[in-house]
Amino acid sequence: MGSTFSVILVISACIGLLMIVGGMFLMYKGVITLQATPKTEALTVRWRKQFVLTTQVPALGFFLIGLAFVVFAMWFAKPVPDSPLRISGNVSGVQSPIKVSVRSEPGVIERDITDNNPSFTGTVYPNLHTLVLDVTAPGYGPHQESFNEDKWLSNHSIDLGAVNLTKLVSESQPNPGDIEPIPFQPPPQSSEGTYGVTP
Amino acid sequence: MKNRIKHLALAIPMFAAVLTAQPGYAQGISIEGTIIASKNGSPIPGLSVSVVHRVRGRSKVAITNSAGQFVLLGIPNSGPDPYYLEVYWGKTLKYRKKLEGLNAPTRIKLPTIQLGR
Repeated sequence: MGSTFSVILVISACIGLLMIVGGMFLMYKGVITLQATPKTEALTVRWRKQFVLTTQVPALGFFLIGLAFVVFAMWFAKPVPDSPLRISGNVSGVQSPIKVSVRSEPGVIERDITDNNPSFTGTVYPNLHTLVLDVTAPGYGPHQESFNEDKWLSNHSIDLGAVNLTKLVSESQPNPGDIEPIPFQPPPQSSEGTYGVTP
Repeated sequence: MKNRIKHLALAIPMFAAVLTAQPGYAQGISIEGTIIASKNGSPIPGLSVSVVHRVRGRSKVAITNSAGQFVLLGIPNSGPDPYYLEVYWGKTLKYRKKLEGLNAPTRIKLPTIQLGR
């Protein structure tokens, strides 16, 4: 989480606590009271006609506003998965190279970003609540397992344990002519792809 | 009452739009195919499939599923140079063929690829 935002959260929490404790202190000193005021002096808070709050005990406002700051800080300070996640497991008895991929579920977060061709704007909320691990090896049936964040968020690790892949097809030599010559040197197979999408 | 009708009039097209929403990969070329073993016709899972291009380099890699199927989405137009489809068994190249006619956003379903002797 960004440090500026963390500072804002701490300040919000402090302001909230200060308002609550300060309100209690002022009440103790008798500066404000919880006695109901006459209806004509009732405090009314309006927000765009939709939200109207009227109270005959204005001192409660201190507590409510303070509480709002504290709740705001607590809500946004909840743990987020911004730390590295360690993934482990053991696939035995597989001769082919193993590939493990991790994706979030659902894969596509937003399909309908507001389109004002040629520009576009939109707001998305990255969703890492569920992670799906795919373990694959050529010629073997894939293994897929999903993990909710309550299983990995606390200790930042996922242990798949023993993974069994079922062999379906054996490797064989390519047919002559299956590998067409290429007039340039392609990037190595291990290189990170730079375009395209895989679902 | 008027407000209710107004809200309903807004909600119905929005609901219809959600129901008819299409996946967001309309742009670019999509390539899909199936890979089987020529020996017994079994689908081969776990193969790495990608396309390579002289200028663009290598695409993201798709892995064949348990039915031997793969999908590559959002591939840009090839331009004057063609794409080549490559299939790897782990780190071993097993198949490479030139893909012709990838110059417009389209969806291509390749004929089933048979691997091995």
